[in-house]
Amino acid sequence: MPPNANSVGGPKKKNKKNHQRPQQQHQQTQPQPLPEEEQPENPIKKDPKPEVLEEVVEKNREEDKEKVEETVAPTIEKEKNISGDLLDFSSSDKSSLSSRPNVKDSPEEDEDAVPVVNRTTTSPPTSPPSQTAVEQDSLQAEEMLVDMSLDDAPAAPPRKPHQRSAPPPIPSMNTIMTKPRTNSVSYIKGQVVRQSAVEQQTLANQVVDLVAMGMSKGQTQSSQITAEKAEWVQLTSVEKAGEPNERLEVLIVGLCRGYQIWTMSMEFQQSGEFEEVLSERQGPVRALKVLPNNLKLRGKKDSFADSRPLIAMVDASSHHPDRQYCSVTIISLLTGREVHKIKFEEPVCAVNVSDQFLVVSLANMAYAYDILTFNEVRTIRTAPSCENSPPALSLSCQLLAYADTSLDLNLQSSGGLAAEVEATSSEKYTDHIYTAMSYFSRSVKTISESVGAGSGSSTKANQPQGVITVLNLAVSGEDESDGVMCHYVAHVDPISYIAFSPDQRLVLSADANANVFNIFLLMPHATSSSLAAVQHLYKLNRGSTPAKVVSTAFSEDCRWLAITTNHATTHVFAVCPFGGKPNQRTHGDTFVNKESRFHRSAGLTDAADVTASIGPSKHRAMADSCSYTKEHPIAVNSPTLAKTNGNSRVGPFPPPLLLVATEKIKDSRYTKEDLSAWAADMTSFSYPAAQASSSPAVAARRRLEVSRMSVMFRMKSYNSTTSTKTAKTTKMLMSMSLVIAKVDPAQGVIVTQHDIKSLRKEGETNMEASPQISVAPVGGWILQRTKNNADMHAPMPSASPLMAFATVETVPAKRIGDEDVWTPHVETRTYLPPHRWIWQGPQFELFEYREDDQPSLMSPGNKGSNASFKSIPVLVGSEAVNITMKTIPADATRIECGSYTSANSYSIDQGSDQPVIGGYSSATNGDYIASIADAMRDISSDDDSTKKKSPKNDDLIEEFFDTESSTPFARNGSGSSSSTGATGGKSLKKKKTPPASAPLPTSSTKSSQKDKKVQNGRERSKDSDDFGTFDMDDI
Amino acid sequence: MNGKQQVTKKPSTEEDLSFTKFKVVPDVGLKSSQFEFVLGMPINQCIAMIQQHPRMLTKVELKYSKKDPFYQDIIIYIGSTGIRLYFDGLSQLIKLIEVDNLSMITLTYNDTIFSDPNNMATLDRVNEFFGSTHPGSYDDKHNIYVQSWPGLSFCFPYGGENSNLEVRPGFGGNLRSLKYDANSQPKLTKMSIYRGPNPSEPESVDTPFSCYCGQNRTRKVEAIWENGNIVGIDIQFDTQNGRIVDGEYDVSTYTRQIYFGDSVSDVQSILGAPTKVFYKSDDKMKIHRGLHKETLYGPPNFFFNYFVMGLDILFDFVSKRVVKFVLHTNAPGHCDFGMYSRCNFSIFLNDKQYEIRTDSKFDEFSHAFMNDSNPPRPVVLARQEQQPFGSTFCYGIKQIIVERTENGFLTSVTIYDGAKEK
Repeated sequence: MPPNANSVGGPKKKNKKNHQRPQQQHQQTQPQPLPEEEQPENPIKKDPKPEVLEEVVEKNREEDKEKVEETVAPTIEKEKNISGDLLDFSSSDKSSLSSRPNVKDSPEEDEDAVPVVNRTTTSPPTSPPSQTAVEQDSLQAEEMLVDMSLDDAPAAPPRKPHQRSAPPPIPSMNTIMTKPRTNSVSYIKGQVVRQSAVEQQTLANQVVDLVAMGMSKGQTQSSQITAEKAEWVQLTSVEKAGEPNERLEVLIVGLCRGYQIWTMSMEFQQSGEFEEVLSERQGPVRALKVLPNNLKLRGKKDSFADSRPLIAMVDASSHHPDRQYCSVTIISLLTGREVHKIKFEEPVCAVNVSDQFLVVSLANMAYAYDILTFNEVRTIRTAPSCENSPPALSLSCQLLAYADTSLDLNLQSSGGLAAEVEATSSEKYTDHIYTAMSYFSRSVKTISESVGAGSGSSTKANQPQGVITVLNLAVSGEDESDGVMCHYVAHVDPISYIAFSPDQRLVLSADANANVFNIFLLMPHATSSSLAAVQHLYKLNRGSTPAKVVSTAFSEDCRWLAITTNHATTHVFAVCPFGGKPNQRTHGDTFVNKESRFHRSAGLTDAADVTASIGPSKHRAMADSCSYTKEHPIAVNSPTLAKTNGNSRVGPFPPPLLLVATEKIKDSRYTKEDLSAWAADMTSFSYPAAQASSSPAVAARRRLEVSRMSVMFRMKSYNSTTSTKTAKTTKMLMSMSLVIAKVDPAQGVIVTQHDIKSLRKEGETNMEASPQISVAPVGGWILQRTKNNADMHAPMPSASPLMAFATVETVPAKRIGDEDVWTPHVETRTYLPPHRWIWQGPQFELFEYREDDQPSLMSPGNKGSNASFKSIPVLVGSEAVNITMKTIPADATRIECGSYTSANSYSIDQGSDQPVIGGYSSATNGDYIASIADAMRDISSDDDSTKKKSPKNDDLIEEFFDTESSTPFARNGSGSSSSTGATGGKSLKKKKTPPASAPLPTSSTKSSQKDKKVQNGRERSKDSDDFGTFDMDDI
Repeated sequence: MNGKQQVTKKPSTEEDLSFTKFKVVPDVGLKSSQFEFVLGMPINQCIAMIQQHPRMLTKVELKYSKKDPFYQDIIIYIGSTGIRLYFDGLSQLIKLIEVDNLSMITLTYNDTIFSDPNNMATLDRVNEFFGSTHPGSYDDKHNIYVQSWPGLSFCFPYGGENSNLEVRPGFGGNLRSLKYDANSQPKLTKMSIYRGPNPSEPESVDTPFSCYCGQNRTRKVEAIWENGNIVGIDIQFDTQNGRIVDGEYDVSTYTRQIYFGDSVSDVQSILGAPTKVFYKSDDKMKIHRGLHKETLYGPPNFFFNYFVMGLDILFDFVSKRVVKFVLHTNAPGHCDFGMYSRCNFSIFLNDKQYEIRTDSKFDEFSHAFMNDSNPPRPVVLARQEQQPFGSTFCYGIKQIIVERTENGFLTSVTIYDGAKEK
């Protein structure tokens, strides 16, 4: 029974409160209102009170412990309030639940008749032994439903109507929820667990725990059937075949006998349900992965096409302890048969899959297999894993990041572990930073110690142990170095955990103690890892005690990172995928680029950052002090050119930022495992030697530290429709939530969902402030399997969500208006604008050769806005008529701004080129064109003259005309060139003083040009030389 | 000649002026301690280098042809140094380097100064420093005498004050004699560095290895057709391969394919990391996307900018897969000029009848962009507020959008994944 640490209220209080606020949280998930008789007023078989009392005592005891742990102590008062509510909730819940067995038969019938009917009518092959078992089974499923959602029944008399604003109105819920129901007719569903909601509270963590506890409490009491013990849990997602944008969240539970696969469906924005799609009873399973649906075939044949979807599983499979877990079995969910088996001599520690490869890791080896054929493509020697944790590696598409055994200087990428950090300046975090810094100093000490210890060969001892290699598995590797994309030092100590971000550009890593996580940005090179670079973006400070990472998750946009340790705390960090300090701007509602408009206009770009913040000399010193970083070879070889062609891999990089968690989600109900893990971490920290002595194979055979928790971010876009009398506007918004699944010793798996909202004060102007979020639990599920739950064997019904996601739906091609097909695909901007374009000057001045009599000037300062006239392209003629008629050509012309100096706009060309223009005689058309062309010419010349009023431009234009205008003048000028050659110095000075009486040039009057020419003779002669050696006459 | 010119191995006393001291490397270029102008250098790299030294390199003039931006040379004249760079219009690589104002920079050859602002080179000194060569040529029309070495030539003006020179029938054969006053020797007015025998027809130079700097250069991009759809692009590019030959990284050519639906890591392992990543948090074209378009919050799809390759790759935000390619021509006269290097592409349309090349004009294939009934209606792009160049026009057919300037040259080609659309 999980003790709740945060509930302070004693039993008395609880009772008192019992009727004040009976239901504080009801996420309505029930499609049909439950019948009255299900409500807790029913005769209660067991009085819940004694139970509760006992529990509370335990709770209080536990809480003392807890408080010590708590770093951020909530205010007691609030806590009390909440706990009161909660207890009340739990007790009412309990009572309701406990009533379940009594009313077993009657309510089920009307509540969930469909599954029952199904089971009994159509399910003989799958459902085990007898009809009664089936019945019971479905009842059990039913019970689960009720347990989770009982409070939601709208009709209970003592309850207040739903007060929450967050859950949607009931009618809409009903419409939403009926959908799966109707679907369920077509196949046999396993357990369906609906969400039980939690009211949003500031101190929500505790709430959700209590809810979970309450639910679970009720569960155990009501069913009197103990849930099977869960060993590990894993949240993952599966892409829909052919639709990589659609994801199905999948939860895999490893039980002590067999496994379960659940799918999560989110029919509406917040409420969701878990559906059991596969459940097998067999020996324990160490790893299970659902193989991807979207495969890169590229002309290759998929030999397993008939059997997909597939799962890969590592199960005990043998009674001989030495032979357990020594194989990976690929099983088809379509046929239920084993389609492939990969055998090993050693136990398998972990399996990773991507859309291209399957990687099986043993104690210190990893084998990569092609996902299409399961042929071995690569063998990788990895560093032995830390203590009991699974091997540190991460697979993403064809990239495999793993902890390497040693550093190879020839392969080493530039950049890497930076010694210095730049602390975030927020005062709030100062103390955290302080503690973090002390940890750095400690780790520095350990380095020095290790150096001191290996005094005989100091270079050897200096070898960092935390080396990460990123390997491209698609490169066939004869040699070990083939396909290495990045190779760098990520930590001084051995690495215990590695994870890729969803965009495959960031690598998160942790060392054995996992106090500090490093995030590196990978910048590979097309061919060579030595030309690649890694940039150390962040150091994330988790805490001071050693711990093990059990699960991490990036949000889809890589702005949020959740790290869960075996101490059952989930740390949420705000990070930016491009580095830099996370702030209100970067973590607002919309995703932004690294540099804001302000940054750009101020010229605060990357390169400026580095030099401004640390200065080049200091950076140099820094690089020297830390031997783990490497300068890019290009920067060494050709320093003058290194930065000229935008090679992002060439440093120097700004130092990494030290961040602390924005939010911590603590599971206040410490389970026995949590505490023992904590204790074990504390002790093992002091005896690392003992661990090291055992051989890796032995270590692997030992029970691995299994991930008892798993986290995942869910991004959901939803339409929020606001309808007024006149109009209905639909907005698409993104919501983010964090789903945490945890193995509970008694109840199977508890899943909680937390809503994450960024907190921004109204009118907050300080965009540099650290991002604040609120983490509000919105619901929870208990997923378990009891002896009453039947197995759900492999041939899956095709309507099962997991199967549905594996089949490509032939969607009818999007209907598109004939011509507008391509219009939305036009890209107006493809890059982040520089803070100055070259045409903005002042360094550059742009000139066009003087050809024909096109208006020819293009110089800085001459921006479109200066001109009082503009010309824009228009459609004239028959197409213009369309405008007055209904059909407005939408794509015909939006122009944001521009000075359009040419007289020949496109549309006029069109008009004259197309001889027949319906509805108009060519004569009128021609008139139109002529008049408009005239008008445009006027405009453009006006345009020019207005521009030329600025004296500076004047001069430039003048020069330009002089030099390039016409050959006779140029040749003429060359006659006097000798003098200018001799008196170059003087004429230069002369040139610097602009001619005061320079007449305004107009392209029509050549005389003024001539005047000017005399004054600027120098210029002429200079340019005339062009004609001697280089033929410019045709210009 | 004179003793005072033999200032060899001079200590770097004038730090601030050191950037004006250029080493002349015939056939290669001009190098100073902070810049390098070498033959074959791409124009964008050159612009970037100039932009990195805004205080030293000022009064930069960039001249191009609006009428024929792809075949006329582009000229960059750096006013503060007198260096003039000629870029081949098509390849946009430096093909000729001239110094026409020797009063602003110091030139060295083999670590020896042969011309500085106070003591500009004369014919005799040039001859002394660079050794013997073939007889120079004299243009009596312009009164210019050109003395050439392989990859290097010097131009001396005659006439005017120094006009006491005489062309005489001279040394037999076609050699004539040019007599001049040794006391008032003409000062060097122009030095040219080029590849090949003749500065007026410099041979085109491929990008030297030193200019790669760890980046790729696109050779050619083609579309891959499959069942009537473009499924990806075929990229031929040069890049350094990690092997060091003679102190420089060797460069080799690779041909790789990137398909729609490839992941970020696919692209990164083929092309390496992009120069920049641009998140499209605000899509101006979403108005064309359908219902509710006014308020639609699209997920921020992101671009990988390979500026040096002239290539952008757009990824879907959710699936992180390639959905679009944008190829840039870096045409002068477009507001993006200077951002992207030229991407040399050759995109055949489905029927193989039309080919879209980097330098083709829109008229050459415009038939493919119209259906019989009505002329195509372009989308007009202004791109950047207040840019002085005028708008461009986009024309599209299924999967391909071309952007052209008002005079018909292409500025970009967009290829998007149209598998989902009819």
